[in-house]
Amino acid sequence: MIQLILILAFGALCLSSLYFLARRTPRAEGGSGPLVEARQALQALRSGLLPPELIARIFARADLEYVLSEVPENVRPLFMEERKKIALSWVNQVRRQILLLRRFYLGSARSYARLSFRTEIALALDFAALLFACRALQVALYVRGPFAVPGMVETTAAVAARVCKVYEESLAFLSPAQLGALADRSAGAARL
Amino acid sequence: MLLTLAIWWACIVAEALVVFRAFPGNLLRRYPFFYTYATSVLICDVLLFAMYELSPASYATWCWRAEFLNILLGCGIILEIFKHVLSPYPGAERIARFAGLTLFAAIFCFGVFYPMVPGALNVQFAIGQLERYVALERNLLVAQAILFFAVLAIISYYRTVMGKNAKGMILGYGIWLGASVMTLALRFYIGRRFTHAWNVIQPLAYFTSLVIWAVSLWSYEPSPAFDAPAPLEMDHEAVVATTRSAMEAMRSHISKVASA
Repeated sequence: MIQLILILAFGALCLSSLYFLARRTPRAEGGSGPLVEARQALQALRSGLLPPELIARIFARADLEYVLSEVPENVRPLFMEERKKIALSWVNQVRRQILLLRRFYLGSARSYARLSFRTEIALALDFAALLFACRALQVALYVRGPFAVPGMVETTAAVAARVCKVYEESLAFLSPAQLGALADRSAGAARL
Repeated sequence: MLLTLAIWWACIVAEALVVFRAFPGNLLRRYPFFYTYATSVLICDVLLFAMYELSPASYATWCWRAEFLNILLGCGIILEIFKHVLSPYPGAERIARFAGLTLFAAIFCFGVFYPMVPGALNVQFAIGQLERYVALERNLLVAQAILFFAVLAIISYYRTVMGKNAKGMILGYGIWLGASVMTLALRFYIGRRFTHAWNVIQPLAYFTSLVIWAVSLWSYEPSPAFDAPAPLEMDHEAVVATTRSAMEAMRSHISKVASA
């Protein structure tokens, strides 16, 4: 019976994976596309989405204290709800960064002929663990709220800056001239 | 019975369509393994149909022989996937080849050493000839499905791009393989009571596959050309290192936030 269940489950897994394969958009991904996107996303993150000041503002405990002491009671739930949305959106951004990093990494790895199986497995597990951690964090924020975790502001601000810095380093080999050339190639490929 | 015969006829017509459509687009030369399989299935089906009408006694024996021949030739579709979907991506191809060889070695070892386990073959000897064929076909297809699924997982993970022809080959073969594995497992477990359902479901799944092949291989549509990133080939080791450090930073970031 166990054998039957295992085989049926495996068959169902095969068929469902075909469904996802069939749904996949036949987008011709040039090798330079993810690179350009990763670089552009990094710029957007550094300049607009994740500066430490913005994160400090989002998770500012002073705001909570002000609302708790000065604002009428009926406004407090609204404030908490809005802040929770913003905090969740922030985790979502971190998750997107990881996905972007993975996409960029895989874009590089798939063309590299001397790829190490062990490294690939380790990185695949790391990516999976990170994405899972992000989901868990989203759940924690959703359940406990944005101000339930003391010390969040400092840590987020500091490490968000580190993440951006590491991204910058990982894409440092792309000079502005190379980036321009790659962007042109990507635009050309998209037109085709 | 009538339904089974109707599906059989429909399958022969669809097989002929798949094979004959290969000539105008010169697909035979482009996908030799796939068309070897398709031609073999067509010839086997026509001969088996004639045998079924003229000499039903010998039909059963030849039916299983043809089945095993075609399962073997079906591996050619996985070779076509390697050739047309993975070969433009040396990294992904290397991982797929390594995974394929590892799985093959694991399945081979299992096949060699499992019968040595005391009592492992008691069930196999207790069952009849037909059940033994069913079990053997199921085991061969499960082994092929594991390999096929591993290759699919690698294709999805590395987001390799494929053309209409390759996608159709994968979808068609995957549907047949998945349905066959499931119905054979049910046939083995439930026994003869499942034979009627088995005689309809498996050919129907095969007919679906043939329709997909006929549509997707109507004309030659190769995988879109892949623009390999020249700067990355030399910088990959650096990319691995920096990716790792970026992930380390994010991991500590998340764990700090979570534990704060």
